[in-house]
Amino acid sequence: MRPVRETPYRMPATPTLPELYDAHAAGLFHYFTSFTGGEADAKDLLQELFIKLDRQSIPVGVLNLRAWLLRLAHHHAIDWLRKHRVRRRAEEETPPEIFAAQEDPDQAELAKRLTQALAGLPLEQRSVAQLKLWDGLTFEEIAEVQGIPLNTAASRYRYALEKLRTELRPLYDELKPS
Amino acid sequence: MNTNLDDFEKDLQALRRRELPAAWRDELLPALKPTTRTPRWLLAGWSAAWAAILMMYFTTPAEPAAPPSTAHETPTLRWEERAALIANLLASN
Repeated sequence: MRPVRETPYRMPATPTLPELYDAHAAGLFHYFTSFTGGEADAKDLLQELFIKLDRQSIPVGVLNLRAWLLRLAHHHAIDWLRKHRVRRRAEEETPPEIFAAQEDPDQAELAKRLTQALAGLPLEQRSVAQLKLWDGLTFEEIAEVQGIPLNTAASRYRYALEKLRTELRPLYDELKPS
Repeated sequence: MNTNLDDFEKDLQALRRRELPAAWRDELLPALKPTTRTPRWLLAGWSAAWAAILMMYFTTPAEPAAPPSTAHETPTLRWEERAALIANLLASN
């Protein structure tokens, strides 16, 4: 297994749980929602993950803490999926809010449509799109987080983006006339 | 591998994801107060002390049994003698 790619950012010392929460809880929560489709379950997963973090120490040599946490979250979410696959299908019909309230009505509409479009993506593509676009991970890091080949990570993202583009094209063209 | 984002991707990326409600932090973090655990050094010391006690108990030879003493022996009164004494006592009253 490849080591998580080094980034310029490095934690100066072992962070405390409140520090971890402040820096990463939102990203982890949104990653969980891509699996659960519902806010309540994602919140439960977040809490369970922090309980796990409370009991284990961060291994020496972790260079990208965010990627390490997301990998932990990924395994936790996969375990959850195995147990709750049936319930998840029902909850997917009401996608949770992903984006902050937008002041600009056009942006608000884009955020709303994007939330719906993301909910319509297969889980594998949705989670990769989230990691790439809003968690800022590279394909190498995404591959490491999800335990998939690099090319798979890239192709899942490409498929996701094409679907989002198709889904949002009418609105996007209206907002951004060329 | 091309990792440059086009305009569409940049516009999507520019949408901020919502923050978690502040109440969640207050709710979640206090629940993570670590449970009081016995320190390992204390457990190790405790175990070593018990091991030493048990070892001494099993390796120390037992004290020799005291020889039977006759100094404080009182003659056992027979039942008939006791009954006669009681009868005399009652008669004298």
